[in-house]
Amino acid sequence: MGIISLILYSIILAISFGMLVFFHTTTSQILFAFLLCLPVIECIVYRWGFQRIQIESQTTGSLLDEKLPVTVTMKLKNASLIPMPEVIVSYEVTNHFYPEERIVQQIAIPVLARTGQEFSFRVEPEYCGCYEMKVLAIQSWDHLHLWKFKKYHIDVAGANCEFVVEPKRLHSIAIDGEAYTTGMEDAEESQNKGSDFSEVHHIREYQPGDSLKDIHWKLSAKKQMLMVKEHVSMSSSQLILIVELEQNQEVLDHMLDVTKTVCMDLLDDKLAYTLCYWSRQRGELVAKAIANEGSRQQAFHEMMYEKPNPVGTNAGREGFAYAGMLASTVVWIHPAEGDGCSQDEILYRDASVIVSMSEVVS
Amino acid sequence: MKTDKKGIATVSDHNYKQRSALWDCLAKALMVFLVVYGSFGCFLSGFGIPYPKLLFFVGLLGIDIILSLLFYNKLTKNIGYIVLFFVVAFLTTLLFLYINSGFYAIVNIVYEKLQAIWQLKGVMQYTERIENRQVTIIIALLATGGGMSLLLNSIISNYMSLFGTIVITIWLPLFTLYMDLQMPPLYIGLLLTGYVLIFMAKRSGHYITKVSRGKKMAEEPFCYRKKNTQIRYQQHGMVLLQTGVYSAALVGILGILLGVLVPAMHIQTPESWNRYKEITDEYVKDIATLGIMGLWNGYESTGGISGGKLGGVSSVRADYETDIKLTYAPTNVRPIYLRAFVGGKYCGDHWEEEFLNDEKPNELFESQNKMQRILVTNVGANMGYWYQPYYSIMEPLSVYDNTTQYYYIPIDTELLLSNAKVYSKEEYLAYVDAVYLESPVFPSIDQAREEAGLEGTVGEIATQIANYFETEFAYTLRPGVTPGRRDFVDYFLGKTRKGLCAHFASAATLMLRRQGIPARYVEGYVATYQEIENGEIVEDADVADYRIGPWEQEETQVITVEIADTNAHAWVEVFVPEFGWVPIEVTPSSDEEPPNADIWDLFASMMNGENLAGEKQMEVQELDQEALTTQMEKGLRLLCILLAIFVAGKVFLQFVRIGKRERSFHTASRSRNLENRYEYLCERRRRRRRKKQGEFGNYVTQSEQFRYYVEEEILSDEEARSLMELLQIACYSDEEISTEQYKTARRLCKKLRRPQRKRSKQQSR
Repeated sequence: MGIISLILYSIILAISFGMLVFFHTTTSQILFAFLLCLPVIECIVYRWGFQRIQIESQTTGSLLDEKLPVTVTMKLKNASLIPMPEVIVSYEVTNHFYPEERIVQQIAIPVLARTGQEFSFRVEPEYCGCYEMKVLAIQSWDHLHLWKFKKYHIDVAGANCEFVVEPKRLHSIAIDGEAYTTGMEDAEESQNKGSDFSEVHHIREYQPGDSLKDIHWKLSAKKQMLMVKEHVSMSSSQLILIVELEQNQEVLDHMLDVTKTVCMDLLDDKLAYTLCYWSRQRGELVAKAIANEGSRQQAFHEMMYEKPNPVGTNAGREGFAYAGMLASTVVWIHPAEGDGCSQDEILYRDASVIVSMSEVVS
Repeated sequence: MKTDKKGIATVSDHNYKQRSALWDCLAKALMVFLVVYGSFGCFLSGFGIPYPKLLFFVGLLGIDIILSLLFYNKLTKNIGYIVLFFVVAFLTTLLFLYINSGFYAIVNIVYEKLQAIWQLKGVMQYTERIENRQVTIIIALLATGGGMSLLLNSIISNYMSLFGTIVITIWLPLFTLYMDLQMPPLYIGLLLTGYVLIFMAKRSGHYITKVSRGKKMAEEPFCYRKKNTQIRYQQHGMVLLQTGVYSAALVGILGILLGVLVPAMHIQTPESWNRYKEITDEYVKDIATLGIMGLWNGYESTGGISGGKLGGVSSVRADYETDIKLTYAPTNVRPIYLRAFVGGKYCGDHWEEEFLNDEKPNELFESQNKMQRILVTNVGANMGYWYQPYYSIMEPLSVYDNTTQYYYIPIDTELLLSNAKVYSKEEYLAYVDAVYLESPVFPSIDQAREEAGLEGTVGEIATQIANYFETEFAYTLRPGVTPGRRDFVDYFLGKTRKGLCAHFASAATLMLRRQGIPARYVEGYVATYQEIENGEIVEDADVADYRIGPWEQEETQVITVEIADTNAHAWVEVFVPEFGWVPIEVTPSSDEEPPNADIWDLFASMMNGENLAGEKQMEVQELDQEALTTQMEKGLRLLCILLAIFVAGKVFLQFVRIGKRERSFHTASRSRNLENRYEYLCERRRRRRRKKQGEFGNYVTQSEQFRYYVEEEILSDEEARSLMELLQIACYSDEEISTEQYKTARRLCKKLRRPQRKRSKQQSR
């Protein structure tokens, strides 16, 4: 496009020169000189204005419970007096689980002088994970479309933004609760009697969503603010969830959904547990003790930044075995192998199998 | 737009509120205004044409804003252009006299300026029928500026074409620059700002409005490129306006800087560069003296003699330059005819030239001892002819410096003719060639002879013909071109009955020949009494040198008479056996002004019909009220005609549409017929519903549409299912539906129409 503009401008310049030859007047001399100087002046002025362009972006939320659309708003601020008819912002949207699977887009928008421009777009995440919107470059043509200006490495604060989409809690997964409470009879009996088979390991401020039963009333009265007790199940070291983070997108997404469902179900049953997965980035097994919704969210949030392991490696289980951790029950959530079954069926079946496998592991 | 890729979908959410059509329109109006006002300003100020600047500024800005609002949406565009057409037609007709006069006033001022610059002897001067220039000029300026804006508005709003803009607007400043007149920097700046702004908008690509033409029609504020990976906004009026301010600042600052620096640097371009302009100067001078049509003369010398060519000149253009100079000592004020071309044989569209070898008056010189000497100098006339006065002989070896010396005998030809009787053909043939008695047989010639009532002596017949032409025919310098297949004289006598001297002379020649009198067609120049009276006295010349023989002493002097090309003329010669060839004048007198018609007069004649020549004779004072009333009547009449044409056109198009639709219902394929019929019914229902903000348009699939029919109780379940099955067969299978099925489908289709009718009746009640 620059070449076309250059050709067109050259033609205009040639016509102007023809006028100078033909008319032989001072006016035509000034006109020719004007057309010669214009691109140079335009380049200098536009460059000065372009350097004053700043970008900010933000999202409507940083943590999403479900795969809902997120609106990303980008603000281009122009501190100069130069209006810019076309500023092209290149950005990418990636999911941390699948960094190579990314959307790269460009948007050409006008930027008004002294104010700027705002543009927003929606991101509709199909899978759970941590999504990052990163501005790759800002570029712009000058008014005459002869010069192109670019800015790379837009790493200034506020230019990029991210949000986390949590897995979805499924209702169709009905795992046999008895299976993974094997070896936890004491706790179960205790619960039946009304006593909590758990101990307080941490006291913190009240957060919306915490059960009223967990409020430490005495301490709250003393501190003049609501404090809650964080319980940890006595059997948490005995119930371990191992999640295999594998690269197949749809399978991984579904597995995380199942994991969340299992986690939530366990929490609903007041069962503490340990969530384990193999961190490819750190090269070690990550184990997160989960006793309530807050710790679960924290664990999931951290998990979303992980990179998946190669398919079929069962890195989580191998890592667990290698770590030599003790457990009364292990629930191994992994992609199942088998033909002729839907993923739901496989996972359902495997969940049962896994539970039976946990005895072997323990 | 939704981009779905690898688990992430991005949707352009239109949180982009700046796309206001109003700002878009204003930005376009600004562009149009800058270039039009700049262009006119350069021209008007350069030529020093007085005009009310503020009024022109406000008026043109208003026009440009109104025109740009036509592109506000599709409705304003579709309706607005029709309304605009009628308004413009009405105003043009109503104010035609003002526009015409104002335009001519501007042209006259320009020509006066050209005359002063180039020291031209004569330039075109147009008749301003309304003399109040303060009124006429501003009206003409707004009319022409509005017309230019109308064109530019379309070009800029649709295409943002700098080339188109330059083509339309550059001529006025270019002409001013050509004449090396001083143009105010303000107007140059405005024009340049407009050009730069249009270039910037075009190159950025962001100028597509919601109602732009072609594939780029922008329903949405964005378009998508590079396989949907690039989102581009279409247009942003505010940015365009800001860019306009920016370009104005750029042009202003840079212009002032260069305006100071360049003259100070004394840059000298080679003088040789200027020769290209000098070449074109002649053409521009021709335009100034001949008008624009001067570039397209039918013959080389339409102002001088045509060498017997007939019918090729629509409108005579004179250059007012002197063609011939006569130097002699006049003894009377009779016009002097200078014979150049003699036509013998008539060929329908020209006269064949006859060479002068039958000079009967030679005998006169032997008996005459009193002669006059006359010098004929060819200044600018066709060099292929001698320009010889009646009855003269050329002095041997007298030709020098394009001047020929003749000795001539001033004879009163009218007296000769009054006594010349008409002889028989055989008697004439003893003296002259038969060609001078040949004439084509056209009823129009004989009818003209009858109407003229030709009888008596040659002189009487000549007078009868002249009187006949005077009363029944009109002299005009705009006779129009004779159609290629028509005979020149027959077309003149039978059809147009108006013409210039060549028409009358040719017709009279043939009428005389049909009457049995030898006659021939002659072209040359005439020095009339007016030219003789305006002749310049040659101070150091002796009258005796211009007289031969025993002349009595008279109060006379040697004068030089300048004969311009406007004095070129055609007449008839008749043969009188006792004397020879005698010239007769048959062309009626004319009140018509010198030839100054132009392309604008052609426009005027189109607007006013054939009555232009007559109208020009009207006095300016009488025009004010009467002419305006006439113009208004004509305007209304024209408006009614246009309206009728429009309505008739709409009705015609409706019939064509119905015809096409009916054709599509009666093709060879029944399935195709049913498909077309159902599609038409759906479209009809969609249109009706759209007007009522209904929801039928939302139903896209046939199943949805049939659900709607059932819900609205237009069709029963059974009928809907039946029709839908038939449509499925018709639309989506190769199977042809049977005649019975087609009839059933048609019956059901009719039911789709009826409820609408009933409902509309109920609503009307």
